Amino acid sequence: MTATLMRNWLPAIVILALGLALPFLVAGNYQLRLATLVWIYAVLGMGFNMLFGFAGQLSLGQQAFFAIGAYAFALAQIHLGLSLPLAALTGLAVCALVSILVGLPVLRMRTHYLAMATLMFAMVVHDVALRWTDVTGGTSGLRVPPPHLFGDRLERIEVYYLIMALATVVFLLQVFVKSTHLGRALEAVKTDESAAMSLGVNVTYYKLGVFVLAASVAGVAGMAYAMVSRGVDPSYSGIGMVINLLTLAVIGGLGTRIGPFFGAALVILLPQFLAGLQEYQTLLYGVALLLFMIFLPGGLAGLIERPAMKAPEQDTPSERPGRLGSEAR
Amino acid sequence: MPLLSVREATKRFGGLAAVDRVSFDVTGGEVLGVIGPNGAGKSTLFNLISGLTPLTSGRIVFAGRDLARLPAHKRPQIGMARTFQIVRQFGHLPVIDNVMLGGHTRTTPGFFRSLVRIPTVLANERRLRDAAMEWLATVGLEARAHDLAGYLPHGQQRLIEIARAMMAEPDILLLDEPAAGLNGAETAHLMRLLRGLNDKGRSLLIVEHDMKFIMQLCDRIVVLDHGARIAEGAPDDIRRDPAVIEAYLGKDATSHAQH
Amino acid sequence: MVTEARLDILGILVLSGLTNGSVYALVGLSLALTYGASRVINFAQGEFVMLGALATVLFVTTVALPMLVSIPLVLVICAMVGLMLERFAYRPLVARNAPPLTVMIGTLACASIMVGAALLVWGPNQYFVPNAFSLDGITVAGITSTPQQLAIIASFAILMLLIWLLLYRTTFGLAIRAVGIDPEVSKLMGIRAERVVSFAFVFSAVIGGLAGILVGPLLGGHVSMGVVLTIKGFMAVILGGMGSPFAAAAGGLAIGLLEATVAFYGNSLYAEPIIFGLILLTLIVRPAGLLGEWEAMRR
Repeated sequence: MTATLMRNWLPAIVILALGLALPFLVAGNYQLRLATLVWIYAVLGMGFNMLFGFAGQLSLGQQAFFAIGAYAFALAQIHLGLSLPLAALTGLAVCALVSILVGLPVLRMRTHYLAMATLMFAMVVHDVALRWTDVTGGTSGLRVPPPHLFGDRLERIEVYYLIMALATVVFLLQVFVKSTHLGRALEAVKTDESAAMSLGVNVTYYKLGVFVLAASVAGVAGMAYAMVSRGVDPSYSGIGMVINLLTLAVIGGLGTRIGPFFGAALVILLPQFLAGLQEYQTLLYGVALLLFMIFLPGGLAGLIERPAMKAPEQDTPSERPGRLGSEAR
Repeated sequence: MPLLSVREATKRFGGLAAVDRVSFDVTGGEVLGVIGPNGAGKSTLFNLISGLTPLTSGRIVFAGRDLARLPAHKRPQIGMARTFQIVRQFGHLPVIDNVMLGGHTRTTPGFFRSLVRIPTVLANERRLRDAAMEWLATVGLEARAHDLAGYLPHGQQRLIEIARAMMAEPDILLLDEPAAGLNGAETAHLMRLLRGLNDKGRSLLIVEHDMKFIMQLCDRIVVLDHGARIAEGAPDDIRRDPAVIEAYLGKDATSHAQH
Repeated sequence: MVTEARLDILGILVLSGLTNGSVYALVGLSLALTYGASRVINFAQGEFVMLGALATVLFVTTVALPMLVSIPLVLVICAMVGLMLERFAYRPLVARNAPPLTVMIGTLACASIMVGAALLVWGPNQYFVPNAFSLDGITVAGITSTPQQLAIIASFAILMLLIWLLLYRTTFGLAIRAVGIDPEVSKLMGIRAERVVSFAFVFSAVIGGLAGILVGPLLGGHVSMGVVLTIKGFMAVILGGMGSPFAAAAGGLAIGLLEATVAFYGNSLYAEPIIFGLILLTLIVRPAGLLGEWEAMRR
């Protein structure tokens, strides 16, 4: 039992320790900023992970909530003069509200249709961010004031720890969801909706629940990103963001607990080590995404954690056409 | 008052009636079998009762309550649980988690409330885990509790499914071809298990192909053919019913048997 | 006078709506065709339009080949890229039993690869795409149009007819439809499903390239133009339904007309949100699209 416990928590503890020590190991503000971005991307990845990895609902619109959170956060500070915590709560509330409004109709769809509709939604958000210049500032976006907490301006290192703490909270939330009835019900929804229903899982409500949760988590990531970048612009909701997100989620390992951390670290840090790579980034992310899906579908975390995505061989209804009489439908 | 009352239940797909004005009752503590040739509408009937398919017309009343407006996911709460013809297992989850899933409605707060009521949820988890272990012991699979469900042989997956359904502590258990694909020993084990459940007062409603199994287990049998009820009675009467023989073996066999 | 003016407006709206709608319809139709054969939504579909437009720039402007030579070259390139997508993304994933959604993410990865590669070749610049037909206005019955615009609509109509003939009047078309209904059963019937899948990917790529050649002069060529068109294609298939290429094409035309109308009477800023709202509304009423099968609601 202790062995299992160690196996489950050891990677997370190592990551946490590394994260705590990191500001003392890196030289300069640029590296610290990169490290901060890794945590932010990990948060974004965890939201997607809960939605697709745990519940099997493929949304390609997470970047819309990333942007909505960031814009709401910026606007609340600029126009309403709200403090950082209040602005963050506003951003969270806006994300949750929009995700309920969008989720209710969109979640009636499944698989491909859901993926298309959510990407459509994200493109609408992107379009609005670009063209509703009076509010969003158009292409140049909005500036976010420097972060203050309880009257004091936050140092870079404080921002780092704040965001790392956020990532830790989201990680614990993710573990909680996965290891309780919530995770089981989501797994049931992912595998077989009608069986889930027969076991008493309110499938519609659970799908909406995890959609709203993932949207809120994406919003948190967006707000953190805006805080670190001191601004928000339409690229937050761009197609590039969803490619980054998918790449980090797949490379890290879908359905695993620590996958998003690995993925985020790789997606952020790798281009830094290979000089002059910026130009090739779109191409390389695409190639990496494709290669991982073909050759290592469990991702990096899948190598150490039991991957939740890959089922052991079993007879599923679709694979046994002979058993499916007209009655079974 | 019967526990479950099916009245003129009808389901049409397009013009075709898969279930055509079927009526029967299940009284508390009874074991009722539903048999019929392939395509007789047995699985559709099960989906109507468990709420996965809406009725075209007719009524289904359970414990005095009309189920017309009760969604499938609320039926386990009021004492109705089911298994499927083709085992529906969540293969990525350990056996114990599969069984715990059966207790979903009985104990847990909703999605968002769960996120803020962590102690309640954790207490629930412990309670569910204990209950699931008990049911696993009952079906004889406690040793496999921590294996991934997908790795288990078919017969054991069937038992997990029953243990899972029992987690809802149902008054009636709907079993869709529970003996399908089981060998002799497994079938005998299943028979003992179901008898044991029935002895503790659970009603069972069983759809089955295996005649011997159903004749031995059931108090009463309803026979469907082409969506309609063609006979109802004790196993011995059903065995001799000409309409039933005809449905199963064709007209020739009937005339043959009469000669 | 008043009625005549309104007829003018109507004519312009219908014409510009049909022009864009034809392009959306071509993308939607290709999506539905590929989906029918492979049960995968090709997220790279719009990138073939981008490739078609920019390859035209390459051959006609950069290499200075005549248009008539360039067009076949562009289409061959699109076909080859389509085949590569099928060979190096779709097939390896399917061969490893990847779930359909994973295969779909694979096509999104391909979209990213195509955009990334195009960025290296063409950079992030906006290009003028040479036109095969004249862009000079011609006025018929008070409505001004261009031969290019009319060519788009005409090509679309001809393509629809050809695809209909292919699907419903040839044995190969029968095979395509059979694979779309049930790949397993059609395999038993001796249809080589892989060939149908290859064909669908290549054919869709060519249609995309053709759309790029046609609409490029109107939209301008840019590496990021593809994703927008992919999304329009999604709108088309969701609105029309994925059941048949023709339903998807009808959806595309409807989106084009709607866009033109909303942009004319309102602010073009609202066009996208309004259309998205309408699609959501459609989905609430008819979850499988206006003309759709009910695949959407099934597992």
